[in-house]
Amino acid sequence: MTILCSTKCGRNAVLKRPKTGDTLCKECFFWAFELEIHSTIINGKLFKKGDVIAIAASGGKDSTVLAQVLKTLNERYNYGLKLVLLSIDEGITGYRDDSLKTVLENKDEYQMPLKILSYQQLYGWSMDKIVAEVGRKNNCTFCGVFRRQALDRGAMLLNVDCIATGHNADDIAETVLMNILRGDVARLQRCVNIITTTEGAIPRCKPLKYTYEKEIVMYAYFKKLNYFSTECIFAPNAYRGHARTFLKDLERLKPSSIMDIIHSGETMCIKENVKMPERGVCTKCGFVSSQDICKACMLLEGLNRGLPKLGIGKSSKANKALASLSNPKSLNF
Amino acid sequence: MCSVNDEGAESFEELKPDEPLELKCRKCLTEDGNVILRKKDVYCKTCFIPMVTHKFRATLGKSKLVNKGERVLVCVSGSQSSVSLLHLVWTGLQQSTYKRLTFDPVIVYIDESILFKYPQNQQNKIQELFEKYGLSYHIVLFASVLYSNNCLIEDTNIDQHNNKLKNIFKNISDLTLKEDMLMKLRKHAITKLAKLLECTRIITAENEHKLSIRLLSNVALGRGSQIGLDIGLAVNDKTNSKKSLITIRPLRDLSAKEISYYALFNKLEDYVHSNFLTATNEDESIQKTTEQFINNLQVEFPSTVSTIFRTGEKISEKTSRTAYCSMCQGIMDIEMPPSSAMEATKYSKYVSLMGLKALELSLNNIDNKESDLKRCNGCYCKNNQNSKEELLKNLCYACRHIIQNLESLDDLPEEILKKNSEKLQFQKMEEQIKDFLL
Ligand SMILES: [Zn+2]
Ligand SMILES: [Zn+2]
Ligand SMILES: [Zn+2]
Ligand SMILES: [Zn+2]
Ligand SMILES: [Zn+2]
Repeated sequence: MTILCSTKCGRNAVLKRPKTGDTLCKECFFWAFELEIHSTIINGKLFKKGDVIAIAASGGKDSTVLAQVLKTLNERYNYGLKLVLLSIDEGITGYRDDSLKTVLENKDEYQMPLKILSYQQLYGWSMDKIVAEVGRKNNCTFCGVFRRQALDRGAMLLNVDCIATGHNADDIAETVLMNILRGDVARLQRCVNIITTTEGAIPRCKPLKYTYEKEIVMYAYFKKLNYFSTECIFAPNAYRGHARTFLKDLERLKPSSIMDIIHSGETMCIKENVKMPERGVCTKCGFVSSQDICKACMLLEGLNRGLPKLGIGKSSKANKALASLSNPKSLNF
Repeated sequence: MCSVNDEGAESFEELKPDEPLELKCRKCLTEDGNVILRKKDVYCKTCFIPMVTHKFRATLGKSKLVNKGERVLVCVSGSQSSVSLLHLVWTGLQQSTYKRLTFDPVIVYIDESILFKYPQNQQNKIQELFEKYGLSYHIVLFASVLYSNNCLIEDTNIDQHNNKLKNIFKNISDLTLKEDMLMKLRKHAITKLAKLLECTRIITAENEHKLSIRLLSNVALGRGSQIGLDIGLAVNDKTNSKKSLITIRPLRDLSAKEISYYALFNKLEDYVHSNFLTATNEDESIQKTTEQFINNLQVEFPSTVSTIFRTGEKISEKTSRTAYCSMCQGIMDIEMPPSSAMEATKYSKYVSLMGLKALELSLNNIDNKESDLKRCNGCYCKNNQNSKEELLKNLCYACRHIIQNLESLDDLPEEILKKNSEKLQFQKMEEQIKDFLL
């Protein structure tokens, strides 16, 4: 049975859009996919002419598709942007080696400059070394905390105007759920923003904010894009895993759930009388932090002192532990 | 990508292996324990009941919203929470002078047996229960409340009204939307009863567990802006400006377990209370999936329910304009900026239908195009379609999802439609004179 493309272009449909349920031919799907991101960029005022944009490139599907689409749109609609790829090498044997290969291929294919920064360079510790020290239970904490700052540091070095990350609609919806589950209203508020700006840090934006993960896979599949698809080889966080499964269940029941959750996030706000954590800068490294000493420095301190559990649990506990150490300020890291 | 993303570290209270339990009550230290709460706190029966009563009174008192002699509608559905609420209210009225509850309760039970299978004698049993307490009460039929102005005395058209009610749900095939609609109609019925019975306060029996499920379901349904309204301690019905109607949920700080024990120790019998999700699977509706998700998490991470609940405490709606949904009284959340999930969804639908042509037409044409697409091809339903469009204008994001699924509006309660046409009338007036308003 052949089904016609719902745009009435005359061609046969080859796919059903996960987001809207419409049947489309390959060409019309590419158009729809790219136009939607174009409209997200224009409506969200994500870029200015002449901006230098760092694309956070992990080699995974989101960032690979982001690089491809930004390059296409930049040329097609004369954004006037300078695009660069920024990669972080966590130093995970068998995971990052392979994914960085993909990034290198992207660099050649899209002819974009690429900067790779390693945890070893930035922190003196690769993830392999960290795992050897802390085991596999908490290593994703390190991985996540270090990556967040690594992108900021890399972007500073490259002197860019904005970092574009590959977060898609599923990621945002999942994060809304996660922040409700862990009671983090400050993040709940921030996570639906399409641009996040913090004083002293380079703004970040999410051009794929309204793009469904399934459609990203579809786009990569039909464009035959090369991406690295292995999940992080360390055990994923159980809690986030549950939230992800939950979101998939909701999407199956009602495909619009992902957008409905983002809509919820966009229409909620924090009551005036709720105390919010103050965001200042870390006294050690100068990067954004809600504590005197940022999480990255805290974790690093633990590693360097041979107390890797430090900083994993509640911050107050870590602060106490840190205070009990002899003159922690004199330490260099 | 790594499972942590960039949002930073995550720390959750994980379930600790069972610690040895103290067997004596933590309060009096002499009696043997009868209840274990939060896996560690042991209470004896004698200390437990006053603790629950205290929480109820504290939550009610915190709101400082119930005045002496005020008429308060107490909603009893038959569920364990609701019979406990009734018992707590009654006990409060029997207290010695300075502790006594001083409001004037009016108990209501809405009989939904037209929609769900209840034991035949259920209504009689509820009546016996109410008689036993000796408070003033009303037992009313759901359809009568929704469609008749005479529901407190006698509804002469009950068959017709029952059919209307059944029709609404027959026309909604999706279980998620069906249940959502039921919630909104129940709310509508309770509000109407409060007005008819001249009550200015409404007390309902939801506990912490139920409210946390409702919160997360609301988020999943796009009702994030209504969290305050649906789970808050005290909610002001701002649409009723003359006599402000306030809903209070005094059991919200009690866990489901605390309530079960309270009911058990006081030998309170509860009654069947169904909804469309009763006896359905978790993979058939968003609400049930959510409930299952929370219950499973709660086993692994015992602080789940209370954390979700406390998150809800800190959230309110983003309001720039004070307009309310004609169906659910939630804040209108459909005037969103161009960069929003709602507009992005609209654009997705548009692009999928227009393809390449989407580029030529400006984004502003979407709305016109959309209504063009909705109009049927020369069928006779134009009027009907028009009134539906008009109703949709005054519905919130999530209620639109429900009404879009309805073939006809004929079975909706009259007040909803009437309120809507009043609003439209007012909006038209505003439109006409807007250039002259200073
Ligand atoms: Zn086509
Ligand atoms: Zn990881
Ligand atoms: Zn630091
Ligand atoms: Zn005791
Ligand atoms: Zn509504």
